[in-house]
Amino acid sequence: MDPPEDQCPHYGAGQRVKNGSALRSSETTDVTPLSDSNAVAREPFGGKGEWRSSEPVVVGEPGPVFEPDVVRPEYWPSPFRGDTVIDGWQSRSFVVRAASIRGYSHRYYGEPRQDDFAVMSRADGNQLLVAVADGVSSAGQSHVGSTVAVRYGIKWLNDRMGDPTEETDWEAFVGSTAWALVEHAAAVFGIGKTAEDTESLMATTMICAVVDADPGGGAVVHTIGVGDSGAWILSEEGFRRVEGGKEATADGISTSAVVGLPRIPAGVKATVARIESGEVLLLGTDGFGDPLGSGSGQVGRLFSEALGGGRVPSMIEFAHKLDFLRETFDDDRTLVAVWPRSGATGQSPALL
Amino acid sequence: MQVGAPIAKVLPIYFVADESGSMYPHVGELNQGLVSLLDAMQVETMAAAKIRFCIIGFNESVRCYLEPSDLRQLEDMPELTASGNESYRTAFLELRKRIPSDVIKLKSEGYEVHRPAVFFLSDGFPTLPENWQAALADLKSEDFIERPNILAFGIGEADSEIIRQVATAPQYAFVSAQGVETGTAIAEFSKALTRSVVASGQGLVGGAAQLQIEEPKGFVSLAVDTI
Repeated sequence: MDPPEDQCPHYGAGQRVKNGSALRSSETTDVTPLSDSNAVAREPFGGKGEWRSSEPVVVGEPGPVFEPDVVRPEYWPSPFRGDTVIDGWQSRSFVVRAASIRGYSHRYYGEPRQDDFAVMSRADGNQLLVAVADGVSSAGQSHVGSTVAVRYGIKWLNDRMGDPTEETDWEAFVGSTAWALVEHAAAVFGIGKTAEDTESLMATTMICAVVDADPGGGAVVHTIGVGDSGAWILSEEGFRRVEGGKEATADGISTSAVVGLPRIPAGVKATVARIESGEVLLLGTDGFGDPLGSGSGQVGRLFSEALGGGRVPSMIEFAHKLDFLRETFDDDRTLVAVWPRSGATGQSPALL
Repeated sequence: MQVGAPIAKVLPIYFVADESGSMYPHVGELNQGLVSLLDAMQVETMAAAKIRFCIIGFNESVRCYLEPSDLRQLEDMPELTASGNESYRTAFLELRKRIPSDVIKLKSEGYEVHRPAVFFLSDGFPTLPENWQAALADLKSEDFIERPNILAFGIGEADSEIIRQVATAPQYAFVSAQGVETGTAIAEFSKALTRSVVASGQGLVGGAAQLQIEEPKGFVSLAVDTI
């Protein structure tokens, strides 16, 4: 039987509304909120690179603003897990910006940043190795897993990748990285050397890229991923996904369950793509990929303006924008951006 | 199909409560439990932002007390009542009808929607001559795109075998242990409901399974064949 209209009240905005910005930390602990979210500037990014470092970059509806909580002791033995890691430099052929940022949810609940990245320049600055990983939340020490994966992954590629790149044994690469997790978990946590035990403790996604400069301009990219971290190319046309990322299931219902290392998917192979001059290669975790979606929304606009058109932001601006505030998108975020320098005609001096 | 550019991601949760006459002595405890849930969600605002909570009561008929709502925006919980007999069929038909339209509405507003969850609470069993099994099969059918995960909780005179059938997975079925007073069981269920809703909101990040279940104290999980 259908209920009468008046028995189905919907409490939307303006109806019996209570102040919805209550925040646990400001009510029940000594933590002092940095500012009221209502005071946050809604449009701090004006499209011309304008930004204020004293304010979070708000995209749409903001989440709460608060002082992050200290990482709880149960996440040690890595007690020095920084909230944020920033990197950036130029080599002969590339300009790099990278940041890994603890999500608002982990900051609130005293959990560590589970994402990590590593970037290495090789071949006289004409080749880049990039790795990005996202520890799976249901695995208790997955922050250790993501760090082991990116560091081991880059080391393996540096030591053993093929020349030319397409001759790399990608299955061996993924399998060796998976086993590195198993070995590390056994050594540090004293568990059995099995993939099952390691998965429940340290599971992590990983996406890697080998970027080879093309003497004629642009670059060739080999990407390989396990799990839902992704790779995109940003061009004048917008964001084009080249690897991984998150698909809605065929029925349009989203899922947050992910598979990661040490589980190895069947049929591991690299995806090959070209980045032209003026385009940007992006490798990121789902903390970036989920709110980006297809790139057609406000998050896409924020990053198009920050990274597109040949513009290279400062390292601090890059990290600050990646730390954007958007309600319900409170996962860790990691993003590595790579601009080819050769043949670049962009406005940023770094690219010329 | 690629995800668009969502404004937020949400998990619809339906609390479906038995309002038959046998619940009359205990409905006050249930209502108090809902108030506690509201209080918790207005403190745990990061988790609450990801939940859209709906309340449905059923006896011979069905009533929606609260459309899927952001509990941060709600001042008072509605109050459930108790009279008449249980019709499980009525409850299942209502869910089958409303979940697709609720999901479409949320998506049209720009939300990314996770598979809905149903918390089904009953202190009895279907007392009317009706084919509730067919309505349940429709709700759980693989062909039903938005089919929810159903957690079933039996208290009082609930039939453990029926509770097991209602749940979409064995680990989602619970009955109160023998000797536990119904009022106590409802209080414990309410605490578990609050903890599960908060944990599910928190869990919608970082690859955690989307439903975080807290087993109520004094309940027996039907996942293991102990009944």
